[in-house]
Amino acid sequence: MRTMSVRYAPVGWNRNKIFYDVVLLAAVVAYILLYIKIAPSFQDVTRPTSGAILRAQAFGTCAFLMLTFILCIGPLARLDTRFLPLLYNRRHFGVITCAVAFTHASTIVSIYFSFSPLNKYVAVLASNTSYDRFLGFPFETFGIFALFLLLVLAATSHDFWLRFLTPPIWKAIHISIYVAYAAIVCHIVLGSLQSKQSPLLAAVVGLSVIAVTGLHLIAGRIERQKDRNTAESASESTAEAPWVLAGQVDDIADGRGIVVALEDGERVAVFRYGDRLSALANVCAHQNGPLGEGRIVDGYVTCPWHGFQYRPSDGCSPPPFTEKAATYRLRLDGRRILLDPRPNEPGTHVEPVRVTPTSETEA
Amino acid sequence: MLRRHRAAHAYMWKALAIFLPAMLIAALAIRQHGPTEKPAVQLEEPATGAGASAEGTES
Ligand code: HEM
Ligand code: FES
Repeated sequence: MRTMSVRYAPVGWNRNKIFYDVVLLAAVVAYILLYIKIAPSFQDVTRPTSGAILRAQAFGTCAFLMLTFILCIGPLARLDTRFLPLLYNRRHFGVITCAVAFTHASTIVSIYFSFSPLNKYVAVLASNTSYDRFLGFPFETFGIFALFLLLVLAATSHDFWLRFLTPPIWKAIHISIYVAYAAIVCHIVLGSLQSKQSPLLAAVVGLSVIAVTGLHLIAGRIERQKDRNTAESASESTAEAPWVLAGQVDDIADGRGIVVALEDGERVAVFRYGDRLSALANVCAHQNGPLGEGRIVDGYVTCPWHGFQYRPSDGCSPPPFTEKAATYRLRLDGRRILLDPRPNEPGTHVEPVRVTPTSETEA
Repeated sequence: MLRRHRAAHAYMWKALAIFLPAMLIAALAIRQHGPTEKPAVQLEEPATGAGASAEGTES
């Protein structure tokens, strides 16, 4: 199925997505039911927790685990391509997480703040204002702040908003998922972990923090190592172009690409398709996906993350789409691929370089 | 990813990798234990028979 078929919804509905959502919803329901059934057997019998509070805890911990999982998907997909299918539908995961967190918050507000003489929503903010202390800090505020961020992210998650806000602004907003995660950690650490002795909850938070930050640091380190292997400048550099060596023709499988790091830190994807070679910026216009790790599908470079497509010769998406990637000039020297590291304006046509199928020409 | 974005991500995660564990450890270390968490103190041995409790433990 071609994924780019409907305007503003390049990643349309398909069977895989529905399957993904059904599995996800089933997992959420199973977790909540299991929590409500099992948790009472762990609690202090002299201080039983009411059903409503149990439900709030079930939804709260579920949302936290979901957020942990969402944040792990990104670096996992960088470390192993088998995780890419999870990335493909991460948006729905995020929206469902927001709904689960919202249920937690509204249950809490109904339990703890309904008996206040104030309006219950005012009471959440007004009942504790000890912002000047660490222990006893109004931890609910962290929850409210995180829930606000999650709502904004869910509301603007559709690709319509990506276009409407433009990618740089959209990406700046969506980076706040990290801030939301940090706020939730503070919410739990200053809230539940203070009011009750719960080694299990402490362990879950600890493991989540280790997994999320650890995976991001490892993925970041690997990215930095890739950047260190920058393309060397070729001896063929001329006054016309400062050619750099991008790699060998025979290192690229048909229908695939390689990623070349440049001196200035940018990356270029060089694709081989049939007897031709073309180079595009490695950055997808959608959410910065690594184009060079994608494949040629129906003659188009296809992003490995959500399937946006670009014509290799000019970087233009097929109509009716208007996304464009910058192109680069290539030259062959035997089987060596030389690249002009200066990008062309996105959408500029560059005649693909022709290659002979086998490496019999190498001297 | 653009270099700018990669740099921003790397910076944020390094900061979080220090801040979040520090937060967890600090909060657990200075946590105050409420009286309800103290182990129960037995004031008196349980009565073994009817009326025995009033006599105390020596018999
Ligand atoms: C308006 C926003 C929120 C309010 C007022 C709020 C309030 C609370 C309160 C009062 C508790 C303590 C519950 C108890 O007595 O055990 C709690 C626990 C918790 N909250 Fe929130 N919360 C909010 C948002 C969130 C969000 C957005 C998340 C996660 C994404 C979250 C995750 C949790 C977790 C994991 C716990 C610990 C549950 C446990 O004790 O096992 N909260 N929250
Ligand atoms: S399609 Fe989403 S990042 Fe490329």
